[in-house]
Amino acid sequence: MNRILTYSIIIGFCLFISYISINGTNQIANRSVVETISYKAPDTWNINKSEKQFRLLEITLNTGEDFSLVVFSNIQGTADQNIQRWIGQFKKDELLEDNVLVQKDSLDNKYITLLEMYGTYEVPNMANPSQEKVIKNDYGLLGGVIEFPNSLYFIKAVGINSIISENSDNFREFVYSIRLN
Amino acid sequence: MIQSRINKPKINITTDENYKFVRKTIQESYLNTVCAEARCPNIYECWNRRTATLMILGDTCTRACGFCSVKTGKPTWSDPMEPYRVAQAVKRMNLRHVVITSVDRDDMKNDYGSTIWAQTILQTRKINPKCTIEVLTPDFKAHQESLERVFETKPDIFSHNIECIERISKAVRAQANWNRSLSVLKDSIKFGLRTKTGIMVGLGETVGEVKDTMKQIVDLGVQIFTIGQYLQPTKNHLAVQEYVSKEQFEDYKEFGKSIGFKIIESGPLVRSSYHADEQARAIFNQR
Repeated sequence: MNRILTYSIIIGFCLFISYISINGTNQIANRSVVETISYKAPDTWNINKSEKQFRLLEITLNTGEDFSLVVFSNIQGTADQNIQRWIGQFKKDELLEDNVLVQKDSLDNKYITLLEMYGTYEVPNMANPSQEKVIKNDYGLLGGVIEFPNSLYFIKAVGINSIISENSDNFREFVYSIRLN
Repeated sequence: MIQSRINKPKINITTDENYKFVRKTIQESYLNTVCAEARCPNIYECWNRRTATLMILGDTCTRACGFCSVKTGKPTWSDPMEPYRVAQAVKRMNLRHVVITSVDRDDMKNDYGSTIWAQTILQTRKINPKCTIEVLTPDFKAHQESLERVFETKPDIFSHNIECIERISKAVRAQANWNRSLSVLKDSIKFGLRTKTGIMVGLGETVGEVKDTMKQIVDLGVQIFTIGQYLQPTKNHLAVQEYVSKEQFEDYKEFGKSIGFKIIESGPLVRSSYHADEQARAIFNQR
């Protein structure tokens, strides 16, 4: 009888510990994982795992407004080269200094480069670069590059000016939240 | 409600020769440290690294904040030689970066200890010209002359803690005023000083309130921010409402960087002067 009571107490104690452990980790449950990285994203974003090469995530807005964000991995070039490439996708004559903001930062084991720019977007056609580009006026781009010791991740969002501007803080927070698993 | 202790931070209590050296230096210089007086959980780690936060103007504070274990009462401390002894202790410890703090001296009308503060900074710089000086000051009741007396000595980092989010501020530090602390930070920034502040979490605030506070602080122009877990120093102090997870501290850190803090320290055992030497090196390297 005593043994049954002892086992019951032990099992009860284990269940209690499990309960508080689960409660203690609930706070981190809002991080999501895709392949080698984890991240936190706002509720207003519609996030899909990409099936395309070099792409990890494809993100749009729940509202359906003109905003498209892609997280890339293993694409060629350094952070600076890609930032310059993205800047080059906007019409040069409209690249007033005020419209291009590049910031560099570091946090723990990662270096972060951020780009925010507005102007006329010449949509790149990766499948057929010789084809005439589609021009989108009053457009914006948010770019982020995260350099971990052995890997780089690229985040690019494009959309109409107002939507890009509205999502600028969310974008920054998203980029800073990306960690290696 | 049973408070989960899963996230309660573990404290390393081993000591070595450096710890003994710091303790001896402090004792022989007749100085106080906030490490000892406030029962800081990092005292072993910091003193083992030969760093300490010197506390001037005595060991008795005129305020009785609910989180702080520094003795409260009517101070009798009046020591015009303290600035010199602080400077000598810094030299003896061969510090490259020193953090100096003090008790509140609301009893010293129209000065609030600012004269001793200013002399301490000047004397420390004179004897230790290569040592950078970080000050963690009281609010001097936002008395402009007192604040300017300290500002004019141009400490390398001026720090004043807001301690917690605004909603619970009255319960956490009854004799202080959250907006007054904000005005001290504003004045420091306006004076052109590199400015730092910090809060404790686990006192009943929400994640959203912490993030809103961080936004408010970064918008002022504060460059360095610290967030640490509140730990109850004795049973007579405010109870811990929550042990915040390491993941949440990481989240605060990432958020803080994303909104523009140059340096952010966030972790269970982070205190305002925890690894301050490393923060200082990082921010001076960003110049």
